[in-house]
Amino acid sequence: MDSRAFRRFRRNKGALGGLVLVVAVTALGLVGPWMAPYDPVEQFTEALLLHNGLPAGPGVDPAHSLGGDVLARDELSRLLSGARVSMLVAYLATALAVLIGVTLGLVSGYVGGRVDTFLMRLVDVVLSMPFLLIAIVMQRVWDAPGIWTICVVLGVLSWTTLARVTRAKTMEARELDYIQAARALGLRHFRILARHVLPNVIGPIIAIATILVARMIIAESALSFLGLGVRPPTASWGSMLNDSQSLLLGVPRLTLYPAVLISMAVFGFNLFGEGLRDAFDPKD
Amino acid sequence: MRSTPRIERRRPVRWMAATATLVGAALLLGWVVANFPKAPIGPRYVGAGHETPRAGGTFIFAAGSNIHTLDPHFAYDTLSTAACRLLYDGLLDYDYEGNMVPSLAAELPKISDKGRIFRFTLRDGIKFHNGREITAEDISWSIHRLLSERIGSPGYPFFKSIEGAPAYHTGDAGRIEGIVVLDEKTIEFRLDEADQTFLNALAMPFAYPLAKEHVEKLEQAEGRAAVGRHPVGSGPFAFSRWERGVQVELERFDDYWAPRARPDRMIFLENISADVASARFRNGDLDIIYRPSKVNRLFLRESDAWARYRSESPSASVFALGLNCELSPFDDVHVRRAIAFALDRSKLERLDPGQAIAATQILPPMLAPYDPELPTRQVFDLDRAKEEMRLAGFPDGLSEPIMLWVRGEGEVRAAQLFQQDLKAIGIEIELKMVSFATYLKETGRPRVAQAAFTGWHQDFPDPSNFMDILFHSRSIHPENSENRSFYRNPKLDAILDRARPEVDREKRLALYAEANAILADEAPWAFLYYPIDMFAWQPYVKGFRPHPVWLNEYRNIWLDLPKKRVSQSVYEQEPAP
Repeated sequence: MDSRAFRRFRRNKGALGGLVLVVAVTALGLVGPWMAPYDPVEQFTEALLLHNGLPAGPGVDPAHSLGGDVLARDELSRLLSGARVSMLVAYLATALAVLIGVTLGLVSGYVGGRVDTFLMRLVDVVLSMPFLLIAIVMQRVWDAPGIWTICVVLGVLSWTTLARVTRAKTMEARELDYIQAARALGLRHFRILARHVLPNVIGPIIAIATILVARMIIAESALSFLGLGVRPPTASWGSMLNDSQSLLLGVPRLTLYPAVLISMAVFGFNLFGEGLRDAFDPKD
Repeated sequence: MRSTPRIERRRPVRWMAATATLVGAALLLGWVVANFPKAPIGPRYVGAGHETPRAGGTFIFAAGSNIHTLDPHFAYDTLSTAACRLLYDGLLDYDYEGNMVPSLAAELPKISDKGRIFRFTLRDGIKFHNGREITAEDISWSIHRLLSERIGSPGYPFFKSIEGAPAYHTGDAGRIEGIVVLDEKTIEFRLDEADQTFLNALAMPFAYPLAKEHVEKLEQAEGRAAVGRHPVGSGPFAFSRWERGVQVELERFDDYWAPRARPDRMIFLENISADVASARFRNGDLDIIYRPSKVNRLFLRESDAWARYRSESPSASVFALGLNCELSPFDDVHVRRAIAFALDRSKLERLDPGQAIAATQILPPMLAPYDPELPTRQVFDLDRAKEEMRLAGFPDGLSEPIMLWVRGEGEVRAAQLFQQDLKAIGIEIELKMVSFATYLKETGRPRVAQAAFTGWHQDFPDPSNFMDILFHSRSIHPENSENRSFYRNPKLDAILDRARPEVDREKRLALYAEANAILADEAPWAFLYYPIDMFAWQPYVKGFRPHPVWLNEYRNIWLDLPKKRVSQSVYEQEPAP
């Protein structure tokens, strides 16, 4: 980030707030499982079930500060360990999308011609597919869906915007004098792309990728909510939403906790990403 | 310079606007929360107060998924059966005590030749919905259709014992020798060997007669599946309309042979989830609810206002973990026993109080020869579980995880409950969630599914329906095995083969008791629980009670109309429980 962009970013209070949230939820993802007081799959049928079979609330047993979930597991521990799964999926899926999108975008913009046409039509095809529907079908078809398959499914379906922006920026950069010079000097294409074009287009990519993380958090929650996400009894925030839906009317707090965390994370990544975008490209 | 004072003037305005918006939003939110419509705490409508049954009205009920078909020859799931029960009649039926009673037959059959020959006489004045009288020929034709290979009905195995049925099924014979029409009103069934469950089979929806001329016309014009969309039966209700996936509508059949049904119409809603159904029921939009969602079930159980309008009774079902006895490690009886010992079934009873009873054997409590005292290995005992693991040669547990097949959200939840227990003896369980269709297809093939969440609901109240079908080696096939644990035990087979034709009831039950003990001991299934079913109905719905055989039996319902709306404040004055 050059110093002007950095200054613009620092002046944007929303973006700074976003950064704080991003750091917070990422840290939660990193250290959450170690902070969890209990094994997130252990059941406390004595301590965490009321006489009528509903989960005990916060404070019923002081050892379980947030009470129990639908299967009498420690809610706090599940939230904390779920943070890692949710964050891991979001980051990995985004990383995969970046890898695919940026590579194809660079090639498309730099090579041009038929390759460009082909790749951009490919983008159109992927864009024309209903994202969640395809994700659901892919998860269904997969023999044993789990964390890794979700990352792949989500990543493979969400690289299109990145490819388009990278391509546009690459086309701009390609015409710059120093890149023409590099070509004239006979540098190899890979080197030109990696050393000279990529640094020119990296700014908007980071901004888009950040917002993409937010989308991935939502997508993972949606898939897990539909029961197509992480394999039980593993906790993710989305699967916790799914678990709690049967008790939505009676015990709304079980829905509230993961919902608030998801909203916070998504809100943070969106603010941060938009701040980055504004910082890199004040004209937009 | 001119702009500066303007900005300073605007700043407080902006702050005030922001604060006002926030306060406004908070007030609005508070108002919405405070005035959020509360679910009614008691019935919203009550009846008019009639004592004697009255005709008229529309009875509305709902189910959580699709109705598969209205063709009784394919009705082998609870929803199709529930619908077919209203549309069709069979020769035989069950009363509310679970006794077999004649229906289209004038009386119970005359049995001769040591339980091999059954002669039925039909009732007078029994008609199909198209107005034609039902004859013995119709009964014969319908069973021929049911057993033909062309139709491929899942009901075939129940009728295999009729003389010549297998030959007809494979196409080697043009008709079934053992079905003899003696005259318009008399039909005889001859079996290869005595079979005490044959009458039970005849009382299943599979044996309900269809109108030949109607079926043949439909099959020719639109194919076999069309019969399930345009049913013509002989039951108390006739088909009116089916919007697939949404609702089936039936109307009363006025030419019915028995006392006519009371409601003018029945509407069977499909694909209404338990949550939605519960909410609709409490709002008075559904007349009866079966298996409400957990929160609503708790509410209904604890509510005084609903006390007279609910029932809870054990269902004739059992749920279990099915272990594939052909595949390692469950080919070792010690591993199977270890699992049976390791499951702490009381957790289910604590999690769903009053909704489940810990299962100790294959037979549910209401079905003889269920034995509450059975010395069974199907109880929680961690030490003995570990001991069995040691005997099996796995003192430290299994090195590979077990893949457990499950069919849906509810089972995922139940299965998770037991993952922990099995971890305690060193067995890791991974859940493999598949659709119901995939589940049926794949678990019915040998050597595919290592373990599966499984269960059985009785087709008819006889122990053979649990044991022969699920554990006899004859029920193992290369495809569509009913014996999904692929359990083979010549000793068990011999006992079951002796029990099936046994005429002496006491001797027969003793044989099944023996088989029951073997199954609990050998643990091809690690039994989990017997479910308890809850029904709740509106106060103006009369004549309902749970039926011991049919899950959703609404034939005898009448509606005490016009219904009156009551204010919810009535219930608030009730003394607190």
